[in-house]
Amino acid sequence: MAKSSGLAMAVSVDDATGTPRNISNDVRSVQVGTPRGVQDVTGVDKAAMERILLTADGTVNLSGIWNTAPNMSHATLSSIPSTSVNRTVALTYPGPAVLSMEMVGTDYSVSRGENGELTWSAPFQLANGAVPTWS
Amino acid sequence: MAKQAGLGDNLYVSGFDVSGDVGAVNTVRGTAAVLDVTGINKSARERILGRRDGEISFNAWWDTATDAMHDALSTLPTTDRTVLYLRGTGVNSPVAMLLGKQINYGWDRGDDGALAGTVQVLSNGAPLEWGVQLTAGKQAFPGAAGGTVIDDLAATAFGAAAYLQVFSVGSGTAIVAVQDSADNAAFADVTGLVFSGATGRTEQRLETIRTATLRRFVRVNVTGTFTNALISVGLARFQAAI
Repeated sequence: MAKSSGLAMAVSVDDATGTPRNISNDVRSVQVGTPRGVQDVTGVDKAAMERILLTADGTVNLSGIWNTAPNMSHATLSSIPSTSVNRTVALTYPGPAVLSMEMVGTDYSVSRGENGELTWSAPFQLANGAVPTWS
Repeated sequence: MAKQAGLGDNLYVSGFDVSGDVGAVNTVRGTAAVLDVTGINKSARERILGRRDGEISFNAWWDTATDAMHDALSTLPTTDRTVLYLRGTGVNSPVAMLLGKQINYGWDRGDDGALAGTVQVLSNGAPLEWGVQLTAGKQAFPGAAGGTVIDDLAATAFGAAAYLQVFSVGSGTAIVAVQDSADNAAFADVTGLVFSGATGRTEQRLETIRTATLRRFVRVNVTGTFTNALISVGLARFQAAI
């Protein structure tokens, strides 16, 4: 496959019962991070940096449009403030390339703008110690 | 139902309907602290959720009419307030509910003459809770009666929280309760969700134990000897253990 845009992505997030819900059509933007910790191990005998990689991590930030249809974004995400379950967040990029992580949702923030726009944002962080792996 | 805008929304604070004086609801936030519990046997982060929090913040227009913005918010009480943000006004429509402290009552008078305010309410003792309206926005009960039934398709076993705001009572005492039923025929008060009798403007948040079963059908029920109670009730049915 050649270079491509992010059109036709898919976003799936577990609801509070652990059932995957495809909320792609409600999602306006997705930011994904899979950082590694970095330790500076430069020896005194070196003139340039030496580094090793430490703990892996994963973050996902979703933002989207309010929708109360069954099993869509509000039904899936509104339980974040009141439950403690881990949720599988699966992102399908063009290719396809899939990144699936077991995460905790840390916020479900809704904003109603002066022009009537009703939007939400929901950040997630890696929860289960499994290194994020693309497939 | 498709994607929606926020037109036709309402905002109630402590038994005051301030919807007409609110220009924007900037923040309806329910968050959880994140605790890093990564073991040394892991190559990636392990996390669990900690303390919960919540916030509702909004922009307001100056209004000193009776029971409008200034009457509702200028006292800046030290006691808790309830805030309900209603996405539309209909039974079973979404509502965000918060019990918390009003942090500020700030106003800007611009050089163009505009007088605009910002109000922030932060949670106290309970996080922001999303649920559904058991009344159609502010709903009038001329006398004792049951509300419209909501079919949630299945019972749940993780408890629930409910919020009541009373805007006015003509006379007497109105007793508001959340009721449930397994068959949409025989309803009973949900233990822990029977509000104190109301004789005028008031507010209250109640919560069941977190292992309580809430049956499939729910409704609000208003009893007592009274006339013309104007109330709003929201119910958050918890979907999993906290």
